[in-house]
Amino acid sequence: MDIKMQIEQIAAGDPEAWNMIVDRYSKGIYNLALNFAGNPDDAADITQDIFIKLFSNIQKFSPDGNFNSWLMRLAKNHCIDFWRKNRRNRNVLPLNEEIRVDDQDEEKHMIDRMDVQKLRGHINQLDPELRILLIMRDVQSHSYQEIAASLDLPLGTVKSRINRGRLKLARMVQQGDGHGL
Amino acid sequence: MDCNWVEENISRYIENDLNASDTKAIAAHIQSCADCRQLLERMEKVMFLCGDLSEDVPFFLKNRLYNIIESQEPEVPAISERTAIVLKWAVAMVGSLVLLLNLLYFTSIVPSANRFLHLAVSRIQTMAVEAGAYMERISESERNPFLGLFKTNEMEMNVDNVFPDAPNHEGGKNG
Repeated sequence: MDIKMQIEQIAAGDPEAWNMIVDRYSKGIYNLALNFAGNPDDAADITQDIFIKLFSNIQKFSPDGNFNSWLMRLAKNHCIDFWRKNRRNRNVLPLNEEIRVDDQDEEKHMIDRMDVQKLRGHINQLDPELRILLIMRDVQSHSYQEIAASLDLPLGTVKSRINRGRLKLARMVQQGDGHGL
Repeated sequence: MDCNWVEENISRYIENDLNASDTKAIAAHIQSCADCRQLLERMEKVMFLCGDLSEDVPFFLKNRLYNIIESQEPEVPAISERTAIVLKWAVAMVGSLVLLLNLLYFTSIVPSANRFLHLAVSRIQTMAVEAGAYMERISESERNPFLGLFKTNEMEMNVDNVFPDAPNHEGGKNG
C-alpha cells in the first residue's frame, strides 16, 4: 500500500493501516532502542514513546520523502534525548553477572546470552552518536548508504564513525574481560 | 604502512571495500603485526556477535503499540506547510521593509527618500491631530447631528434639574 494512502487512513483512525506500520517497523525501532539503552524495560518505553510520537506527527511527514529515513531520524533523536535525560542514572544490565546452570545445553545458551549482555553493556558505553550508527550497521544490517540518507550525514563520515565505534568496542571487549566474547 | 593507517581502514578491509593494492598491503601488515592481527580478530568477532543482538519485539509491547491508535489523537497541523512557508516569507518581508524604512528615515543614505519619509510622517501626524480634534469637536458639540436627533425641548428644559440636590455652582460663586 502507498505510504501516503496509509497515512491518510491512519489519520482517519483506521487501525488496520496503523497495525501494518507497527508490524513493519517495530522490530527495527525496538532493537535500536534495546541496544541503545542496554535493557529491555527502557527499550520498551523508548519504543512506545517513538511510536506515540510517530502517530502524533504522522501528518507532518512529507509524502515526497522517504518514510523509513524520516522514522529513523525521529527514533535517533528520541534515543539521544533519552540518553541526555538519563545519563546520570543509567540502568544497564550488569556486565559480570554470575550464572548458575545445571544442564550443559542450558550452560551453552547462558554463555551466549551472557556474551550478548556483555556486548550490549559495552555498546552502551559508547558515545550515543557512534552507538546509533553501530547499531544501525552491525545489528540491523542497514547499508552505509541507507544510514547516510536516514541520518542526513555524508557517506564518508558514516563509514569513518562506524569504524571508530567498532575500534572502541573491540578495545573495550579486549580490556573488559579475560574470557568470553 | 603503519598501524594507524590499518586502524583507520580496518572496517573497509573486513567489508572488502578497499582496492586490491590496499587490501594486499593491509594483509601483509597484519601478517607481521601481532597487535593489528589481534585487533582484526576482535573486531570480526564483535561484528559477528552484533548480529545476535537483534531480538523480537515482546508480545506485550506489540499490543501496546497496536493500541496507540485508540488512545492517542493525531496532531492535525493548524495550517498547511505551504501556508506556513508563505507566512514566514511575508513576515520576513514586512520585517525587512520596516528595517529599511527605519534606515532611510533615521539616516541620510538616500537624501530624497529621507525627505520624502519625513514629509510623509509629518503629514500623517497632522492628519492624526486634525482627526483627533475633529472627533473631540463632534463629541462636545451641541450641534452634533446625531445627538440632535434624540434631543427634545423637554430634555433641554430639564437639563439643569438632573441633579436637583447638587450644589449650585453659580449660587456658590455668588455667595
